[in-house]
Amino acid sequence: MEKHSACEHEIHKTHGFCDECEGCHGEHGHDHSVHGGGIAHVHGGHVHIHYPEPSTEKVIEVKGLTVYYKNTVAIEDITLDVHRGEFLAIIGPNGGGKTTLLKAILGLCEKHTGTVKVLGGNGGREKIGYVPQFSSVDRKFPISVIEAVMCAFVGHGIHPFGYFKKADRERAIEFLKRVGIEALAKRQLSELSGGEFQRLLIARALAVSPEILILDEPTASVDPASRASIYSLLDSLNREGMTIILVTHDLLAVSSAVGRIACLNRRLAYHGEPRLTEEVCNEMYGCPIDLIAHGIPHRILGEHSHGEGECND
Amino acid sequence: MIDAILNYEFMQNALIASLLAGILSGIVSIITVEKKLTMMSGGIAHTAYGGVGLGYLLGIEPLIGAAVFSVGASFGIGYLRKRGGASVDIIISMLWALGMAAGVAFIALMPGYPPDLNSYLFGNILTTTKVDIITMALLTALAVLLVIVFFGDIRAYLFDESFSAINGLYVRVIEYSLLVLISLSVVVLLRVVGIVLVIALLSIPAACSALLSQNLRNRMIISSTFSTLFCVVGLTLSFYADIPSGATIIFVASLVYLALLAYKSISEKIIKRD
Repeated sequence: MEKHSACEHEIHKTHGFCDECEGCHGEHGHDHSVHGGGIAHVHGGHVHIHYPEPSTEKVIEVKGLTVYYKNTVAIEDITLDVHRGEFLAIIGPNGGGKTTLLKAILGLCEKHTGTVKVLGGNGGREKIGYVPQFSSVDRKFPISVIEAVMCAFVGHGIHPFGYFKKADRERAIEFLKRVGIEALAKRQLSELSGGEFQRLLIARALAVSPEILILDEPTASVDPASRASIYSLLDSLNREGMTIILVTHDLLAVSSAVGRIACLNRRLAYHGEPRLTEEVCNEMYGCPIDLIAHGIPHRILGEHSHGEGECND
Repeated sequence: MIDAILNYEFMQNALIASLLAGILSGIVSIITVEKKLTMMSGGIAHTAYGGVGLGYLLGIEPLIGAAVFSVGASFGIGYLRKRGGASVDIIISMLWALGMAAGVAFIALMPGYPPDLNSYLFGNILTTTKVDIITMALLTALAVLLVIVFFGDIRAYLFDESFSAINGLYVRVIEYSLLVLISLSVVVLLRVVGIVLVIALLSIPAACSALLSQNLRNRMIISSTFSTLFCVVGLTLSFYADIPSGATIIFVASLVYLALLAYKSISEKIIKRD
């Protein structure tokens, strides 16, 4: 571990990765921008045998994206494609730019270079169901659960006399049923538990009738039971063909339903299958600093410390 | 006081002004409190003082100067809030003081006797004119109309701006419209409570309603009712005690809020004990 933290320090100081990692990054970044991601990495399909194969249609294309906060670079030269039906997890250390990348995809970043295309062009973002970070939504806002979901029906433009109708209520109830909190429809937001609130945010995102679902750490503040049910919900949505992008610290997610992972530490360090083999672990250097902090199975720690020697070379 | 209202036009004006100010500040305070713009509204009120001074210096209506300054300040602060970078708190504090400084400087540059600016600073509802009443009535009607017609959009914007923006809602249009509404409300409320005290009328009514309702529409109604009550009771006290109306209105508002707060916490304790 000591050795590893030394490596991490090195990474921060140089604002990049140790040589092996840099090499890996370059190779894979290139690989994916050419091949359109992931396909070269599918190993016989035995890992995700019951998932529909992601199509080759790109729903999100990120090219050479660099985002600045004031004068510091938050993320640098990200090239990443997301295909229809894919389940992508973005992992990486705090401050690694995960949320920034999401914001850029959502069109909420002002200062950036490079291009981000959602569903082929402008207006595509309205087909994104966004589940923001738990803490970024005002839970004290005077609104009931069902009204919060119906806010998703407001949609494009400006709407004089845009009051909710009975049909809206019925539709909203369906989305609450989907996440299992229809019994709480009349509750106030402030009366929900963490897990219930998180599910409400997912119901609201689904109410947009999205083609892409983007979730920012949906399991960060929920109990284990809610966490499990959120993952099984995402899993079944994905099987129905929903494209899902998930930012997480939670490796359980990465090892279960997720089709591909992207490791982000200012740069895209790795992009491909979440197969935690020695090979992949070696490829993920500079990125899975989190993995260690969050306590992962010994096998992976073993693989990782094997790599540390190389890192410190 | 009834006699005075029947007999004197200035008292009639004052009463109508209290009613209008109550409704207007009740609605606008919900927006400023939910969007956490209370300090901003205090800042733009003080910036408006610069406009009052410039109005006197140039010989135009001081409240027009105030309106220009406060709309400018709110756009500037609104823009910086989005852009990040400079700390919004610092910018608000700076504008707060800068506006006052500019006002003082402009008045000092005026030739001859300086005008009495106390009524701008602390408000005097008894000096409201017909023109003031008409301006107030128009703005109040506009505010009521806006929140009735665009209630769904405003609620979505207030609840979660970035979610609504991704969804395609024209959040910039709503944002800047609301900033204009807040700024102009600050200016017309100057007549009633003054620059220094307007921040109370843009926060206390909403705070009272938050203690009583969990529904946005009801909060707006309750907030307006409370604010109207503050203004009318404050005016009455001002009439009998011969204290400027701005001060009495704020006294009433603060007392009512504190009483409500005490009532709430006591009743919650009783519920817990049962």
